[in-house]
Amino acid sequence: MSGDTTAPEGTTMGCTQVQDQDLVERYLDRELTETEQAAFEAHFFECSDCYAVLTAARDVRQALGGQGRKRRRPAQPWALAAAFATATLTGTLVWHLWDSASPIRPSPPAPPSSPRAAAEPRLVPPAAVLALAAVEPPPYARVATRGSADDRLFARAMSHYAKGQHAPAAALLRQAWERSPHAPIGFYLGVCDLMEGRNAEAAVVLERVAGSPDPVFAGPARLYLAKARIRLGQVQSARADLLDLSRTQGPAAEEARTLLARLDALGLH
Amino acid sequence: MGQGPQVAPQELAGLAERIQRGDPAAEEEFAAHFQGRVLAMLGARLWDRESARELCGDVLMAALQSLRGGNLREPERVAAFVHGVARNMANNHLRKKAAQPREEPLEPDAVVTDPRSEALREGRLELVRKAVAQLEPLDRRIVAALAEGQRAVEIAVRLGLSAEVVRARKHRALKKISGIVQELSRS
Repeated sequence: MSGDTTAPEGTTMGCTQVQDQDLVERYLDRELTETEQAAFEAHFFECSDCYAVLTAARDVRQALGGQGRKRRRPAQPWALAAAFATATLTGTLVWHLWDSASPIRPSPPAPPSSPRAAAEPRLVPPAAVLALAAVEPPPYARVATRGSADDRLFARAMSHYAKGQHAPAAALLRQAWERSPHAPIGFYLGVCDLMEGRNAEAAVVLERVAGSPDPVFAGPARLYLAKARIRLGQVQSARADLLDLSRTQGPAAEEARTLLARLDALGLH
Repeated sequence: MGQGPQVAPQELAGLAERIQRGDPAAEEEFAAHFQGRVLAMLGARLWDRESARELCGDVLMAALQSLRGGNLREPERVAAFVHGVARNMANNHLRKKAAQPREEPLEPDAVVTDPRSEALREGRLELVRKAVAQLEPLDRRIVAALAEGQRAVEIAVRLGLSAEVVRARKHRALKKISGIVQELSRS
């Protein structure tokens, strides 16, 4: 009943599958479907090795102070309603030729946040405000690339992104961003970080993209930066970002105006 | 670690039969074997340590009562049976909770926890930290990244290894931690 690579009698899962599919971590993060969850449980009820690995992974998270991924509780009706009510970018953002896109310069060591945001005390926002920071990853459509190694890294990342695999996408995008800080890379990295609950990291990278002259990504980056700041409790800074953005043109400006109105409706002005 | 003594499948079948015959030692063995598994499962499903602990007792009691009554037709399937009982009770708990008005989350200071169980938990986590410290440096980095919630693919990118190597080392390291913690608990 332990250490084999086949499924214990009466279950449909083997230890190899548990290891190859990261089932232990995905189970702890509630990322399995009900069927997968039940199959994994049936397995570790009979397999001592996988049970030992599961309890060790759980304890290591607690002992080392990690929280795992952004914890996903079962969806609550109020949260779903808020998510649906929150307007999202409807336009498809497109990847444009790297040759025509200048890297974001200058590239000083990334500050933790802008002076404005750094000066703002972080308050835990109420659920109604956090609901405004719901993020729906914008769709991605590739137009053209020049086929360099950087392009291929980005393409691999975006292949994960297109499948909703934001963690591996973020890992590859971070690598690409460190090599060449182009706006599209930073933008999608920021979105992936938001999807994974790394709000502070998202704010740093989105702030750089939002401050760049990139005509396609600067506006949307400021919108997502505002959402990151709402999540971080920096509501006044977020509001200032939205106000700046609302004075421009385009779908991000429209979304910014909607969010501003919602913040105002909550009395946060 | 909350990991009970390991019992072979045929022993589990024998355990069910002994419980039916009214052997109190068998009931203790049963609880020791399944308590950790049920608790791990309920913790993952309910996201609430206190509720998981309470429900765990109910699950074990319900399963024991069925076994005492000889309601298990295939004694060798006792693990699947306990899992089924736990799953049903967890689902019932979640359904009942969903039907209740939504509770406002308490401030951390207002949460009352059982000091004895918290002390036990903290003691176990200290053993885990000691076990992690005994790992090879590379495995320690993998385990630390795992604790942050990173997946093998991401850890592999960060450390310049293949995802397969990371998965194999991670699995081995976690088993090693489990073994060291058990050994330290005994000593």
